[in-house]
Amino acid sequence: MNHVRPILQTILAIVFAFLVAAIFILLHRSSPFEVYGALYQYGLGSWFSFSNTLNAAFPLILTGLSASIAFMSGVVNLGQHGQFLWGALVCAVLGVYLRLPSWLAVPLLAILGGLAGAAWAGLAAFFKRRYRMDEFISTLMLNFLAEYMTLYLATYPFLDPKAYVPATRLIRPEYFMTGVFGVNVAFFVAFFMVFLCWWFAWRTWQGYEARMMGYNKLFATVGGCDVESDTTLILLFSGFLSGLAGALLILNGTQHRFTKGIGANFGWDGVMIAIMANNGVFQTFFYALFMGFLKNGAVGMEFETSVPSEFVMFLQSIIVLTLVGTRSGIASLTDWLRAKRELGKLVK
Amino acid sequence: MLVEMIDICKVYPPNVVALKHVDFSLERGEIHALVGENGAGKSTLMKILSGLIRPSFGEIRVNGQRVQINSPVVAARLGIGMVHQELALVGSLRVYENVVLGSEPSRFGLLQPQKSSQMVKQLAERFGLNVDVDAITQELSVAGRQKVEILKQLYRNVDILILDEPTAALTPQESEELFDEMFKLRERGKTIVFVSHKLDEVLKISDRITVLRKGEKIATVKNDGSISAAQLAEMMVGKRIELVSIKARRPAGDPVLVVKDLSLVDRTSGKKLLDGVNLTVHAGEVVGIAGVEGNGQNELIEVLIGLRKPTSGSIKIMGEDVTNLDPRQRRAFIAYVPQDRKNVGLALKATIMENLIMTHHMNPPLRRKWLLDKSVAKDFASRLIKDFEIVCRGPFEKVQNLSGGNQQKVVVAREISLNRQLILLDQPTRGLDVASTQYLRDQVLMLRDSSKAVLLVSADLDELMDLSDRIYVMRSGRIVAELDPRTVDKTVVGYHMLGVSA
Repeated sequence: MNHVRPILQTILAIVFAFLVAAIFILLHRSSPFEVYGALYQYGLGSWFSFSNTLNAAFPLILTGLSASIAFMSGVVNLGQHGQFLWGALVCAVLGVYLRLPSWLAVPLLAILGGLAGAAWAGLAAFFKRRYRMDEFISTLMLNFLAEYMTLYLATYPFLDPKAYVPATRLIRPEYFMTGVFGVNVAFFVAFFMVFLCWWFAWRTWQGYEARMMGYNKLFATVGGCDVESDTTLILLFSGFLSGLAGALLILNGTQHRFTKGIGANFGWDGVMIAIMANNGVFQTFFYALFMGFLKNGAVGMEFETSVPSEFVMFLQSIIVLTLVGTRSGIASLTDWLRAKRELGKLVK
Repeated sequence: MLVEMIDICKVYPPNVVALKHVDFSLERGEIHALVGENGAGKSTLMKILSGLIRPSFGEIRVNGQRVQINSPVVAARLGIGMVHQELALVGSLRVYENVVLGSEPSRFGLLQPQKSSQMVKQLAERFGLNVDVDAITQELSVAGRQKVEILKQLYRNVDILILDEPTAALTPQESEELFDEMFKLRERGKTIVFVSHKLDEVLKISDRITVLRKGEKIATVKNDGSISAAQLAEMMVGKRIELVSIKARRPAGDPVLVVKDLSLVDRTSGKKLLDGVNLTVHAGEVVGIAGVEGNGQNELIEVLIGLRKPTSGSIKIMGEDVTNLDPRQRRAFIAYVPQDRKNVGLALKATIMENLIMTHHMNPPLRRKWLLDKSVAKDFASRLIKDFEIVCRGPFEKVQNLSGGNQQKVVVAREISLNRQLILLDQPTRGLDVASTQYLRDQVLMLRDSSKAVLLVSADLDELMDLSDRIYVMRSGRIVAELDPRTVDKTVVGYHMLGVSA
């Protein structure tokens, strides 16, 4: 019962969200059946679309985990964007110059990208320990620094002379990661990280301290948890996940190079996914897939219907808002109904 | 009848039944005591009367008229006002400013401080409330601030004054003064609801007494000498309770906690929060810290547990200097039951098991290198739930679902099972019902008998007198007296707390 109810609530909320979005589609004088048909066909309908959804979801899974792990520990890491960019840049640059057998180079590049993200988050951890600076503001500001520093590096020192836009050179083709039946290896890495995160949070001793810190920091401090070290560890781990997302996007995506705007909205989507998932690890995985489905299916909506791409973004936001709102709405409604029933028993 | 509450039911969503068909009435010019254990529904009933929450069922009549009290503003219009246990005043404002705040006398849109001050002064005189209306509010004692709250209600022409556990933080002398003032208010036609669980006080001052138990009204009785404290207690808890008696005291052992010249100066204000505190707690004794709240007790505990660094002085536990250790290291010596269990003692949204293994988690067998052994944790939690009789559905239930008493048992179970030599108890029975309080007191005595050193901070003087072998009295951050509870009277302790000579 404890597990069934939230799942039912989520399903109900998703259905309701699609119904609300359908009203807006009608207002736009399109047919919801057509639009949702295209969404389904391109997002889930065939193995091809499904594998594309998984491929679209892997960076979201990782940035989502990055945010969830941080938020569940009460560490407000909002620097996924910057950490992602550094991971991508380090991987893209080293991918050009590093000469190693590919079985060694590919995992190494992914890990180095993750470490770059961790190092960037580590700056925030250092500021926090040394100067008591709130990571909320430092990670946020570090995003801007990362944005322009990586852009500078891609525009001047590491610019591909043949490129028309700021971009680094293509990484060595033997480092391109392949897929299994159309599903990127990166997805499996992300999937593995889901389990690693779960294991960390629920099985390790420091994961316990981190979660308790997230519930109640004073409780953890008085209980003897080393909150400073735990916070640092969480920032590093969370940064690693975001950096890894960036690196995998270089190794696995379509571009295989760092270009301007490669970070897109992955960082903020990750934060949003963590919020939708209530910082749960498996929930994060689910909602990242859901977002991947919306993003991937949206491409189909654009192809097949008269709905413009801006409207697709709009629909996404409607669905997310309604979903979150409905979920808490259902919870308080059931509470209210139970209270009514209890009162009914009392007064007869 | 001035006020009639008829057949009131309240269900808090989702399914907490707080009140079941409760009838309650007030007559003009009476002091009506509302007694019951914690969780009996006293504050729910009074919150309904003062418009803070709405009843799920039932009706309220004021002067025979049926009314809907949807907000405190409506309540005030009907002449009903409540003084809450947590006083809500602006500390930096003067007393009269706090009193008129929200309905200041003004002319042409300008405030009239002189007139305000005068009006409030007259009001205080008329009702015999002894308070300096021009003083800065935060410089007043708890008792003084309480009077400001009462004045605030009187200024709003309240006829029915609800006082929620007003004596909880007062010394015996201050309580006496409050009672005198309550009598004066009654003489001038005000009606007072006195919410309390101190039965002797209730019997002393009230005209009628209503007893609630587990959301039900047990009885309303006239206080005309026909009812005794024991009878009231029985109505409250449903069974006879035996009061604790101190078992024979054994000679104290070696010193466990030695505090020397401990001082703490607030960096911003330069105020001395702790001023040269010296104290010793031996193995096998309970040492009480008495004092009016806010005289350095909280700071002392914070410094002892390591949340704040003292400005000077030293703390030794079992011969080891711990002054510069952080809380993590100190926990090797100290078990700690904090005053604020919801914000310090527990993580409410975590499970009972997660709460029980805190601090234990740092050592084997719970900790196995990187991992936390889940099956050991579960067995450990189940054992404590059984040993300490924590009423719950199992180790994976969330702590927030437990009653206050059981939440406190979670804290106590965890800390006692740490088996540390020194135990700090900060207001361990605050907000607990009679049965839980009794349980906790027994635990304290058992700890003492097993040669632990117990430092007990409490605002409840009776508790301190009952449990302690020695009592230190704190005032303005200093230890002003060291007393033996078997040779001195409660009022003597009270005099030391207030700083007046006996």
